[in-house]
Amino acid sequence: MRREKVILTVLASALLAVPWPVRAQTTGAVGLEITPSQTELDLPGHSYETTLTLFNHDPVTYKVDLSLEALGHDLDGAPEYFPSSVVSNAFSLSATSFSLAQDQKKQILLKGAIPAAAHSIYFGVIAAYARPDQQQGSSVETRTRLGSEFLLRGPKPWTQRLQITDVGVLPGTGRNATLYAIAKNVGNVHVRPTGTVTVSKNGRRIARFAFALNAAHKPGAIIPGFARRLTAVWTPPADLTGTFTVTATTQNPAAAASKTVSFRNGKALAPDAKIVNLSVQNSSGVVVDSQVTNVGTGALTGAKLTFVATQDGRFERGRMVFPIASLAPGATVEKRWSPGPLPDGAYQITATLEQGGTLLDQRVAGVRVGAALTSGARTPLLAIAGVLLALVLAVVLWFLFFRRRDEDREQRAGSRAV
Amino acid sequence: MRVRIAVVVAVVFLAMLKAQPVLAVSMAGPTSATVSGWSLSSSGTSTISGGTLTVSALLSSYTVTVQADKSTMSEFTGGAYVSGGKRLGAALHVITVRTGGSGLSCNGAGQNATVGTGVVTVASGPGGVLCSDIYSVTLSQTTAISDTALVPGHTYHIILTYTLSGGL
Repeated sequence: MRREKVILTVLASALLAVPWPVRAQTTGAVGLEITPSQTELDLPGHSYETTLTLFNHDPVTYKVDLSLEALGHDLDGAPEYFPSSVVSNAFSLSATSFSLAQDQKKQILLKGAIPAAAHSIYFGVIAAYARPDQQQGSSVETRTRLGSEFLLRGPKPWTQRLQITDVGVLPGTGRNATLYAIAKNVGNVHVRPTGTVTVSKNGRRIARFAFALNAAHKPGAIIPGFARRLTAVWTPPADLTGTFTVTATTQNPAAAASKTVSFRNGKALAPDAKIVNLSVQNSSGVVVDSQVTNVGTGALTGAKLTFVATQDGRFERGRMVFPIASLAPGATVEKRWSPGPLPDGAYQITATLEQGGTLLDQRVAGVRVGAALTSGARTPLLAIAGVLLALVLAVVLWFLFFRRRDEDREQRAGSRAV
Repeated sequence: MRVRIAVVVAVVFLAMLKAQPVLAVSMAGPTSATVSGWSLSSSGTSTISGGTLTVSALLSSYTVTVQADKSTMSEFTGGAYVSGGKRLGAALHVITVRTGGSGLSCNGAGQNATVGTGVVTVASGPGGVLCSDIYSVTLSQTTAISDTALVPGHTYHIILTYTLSGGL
């Protein structure tokens, strides 16, 4: 019995110590598969490397192109990818273009480090793939991509800080209302906050809900610099009328905010409008087009749409505010912004729709101005070139120094002989 | 014997807790994605099938987004956009509806997305074990009398990029 216990203990230790192998294939998978689809790690140092696997389940040969892009998300947590020189300088891939026939797999090495000055990095490995007939439509062409997300935090200390920029209620479908808090990550690493939202009247609590999770036991992630809408669905009493206080509280990290909202006969009296389209194009100058639609039941008045151009997600390079005086229910308004000449680089264009202190919607799009900077993938070649140059210089210096010394010796020997 | 089984179960459970979950996503389609010769009415809404999209997500929630190369369908001929060419006034819509799938609790949801060059979600789901969701894709374009008819050989054109990612 004692020996069995020892064997089990050894087995347990081995299981716990050895990393499990990466799966190469999903049973029931279709098309092109990428593993892992998401990697979230706290690293002991800044360096990191891993292997990604792509597997083709389709009876066609796909041409696959891989790239690295910065990872962000919209208000509802949908992943967004942006061109970023920070990411392409920090990480590299062992291959970026190849073909995969049916049942073939390809393993790719991802290698790099979180920049020394940063505490975290967020990016996606994007696999763009196509079969020949997919890109020949005269009216609509289709491209397909898979994203493998990386959320990497370096060693502590971190700054985990959340700011609740708005709290409120939106009229939902039927008798439902959506209670929400807009939480912005103002720290330097991503967070997954939990929390609650309460509705009260004169200090008496009427309703209390936990914010919805992204998946079972998993709160949604908020990446530094991005905001996310935490929500809870409530069916208010049909006769609910008057003003009420909505309070949102989060944990991990802690934050709180309150706001007064109005109901009439169980319906939230709040504006509801969406940025239904955000398009950024760069052809002889960046042009931003956006459409705003009033999806509420009353007129939208006194709103504003703000565009901000940020280089590499850090440096603001342009801003424009468009007032929207009035917009009837169901109506759409279009706004266009040309930010003028921008320095070469990767840009995020953020569109924010607000009315008073209420954030109604926010969208982000990416665009690159000018040519991409040198990729981190070229760093080894540059290093080899540097070493070769240093060797050549050393040989030249050695040759000059020793030849001169030998000449001097010969000269001195000659003098003595004379 | 019971003790041994309990120990083995505990060991496996502990190992599962420690192991980094290996998540995978895969996507097929949209099938029949090539849309040629789409005849748009002079005014009103025209729809056409954009194919079928199948998503498989192992132990991972997922999001499918779509983005276009142009804000609206634009004049195109000979394999290229016409410089300074015409464009439709209204944005294209991509509408996905879940029509089938397999696996437990694999109840993804489609959406009606207004397409631009920024990303917009067209489908999302909780994923799961042996999970797949099948969506039918419909393209919908509204035109107005103010939209210009093009000369023969020219069409209104757009490129859609579908991206599948794990849920954040």
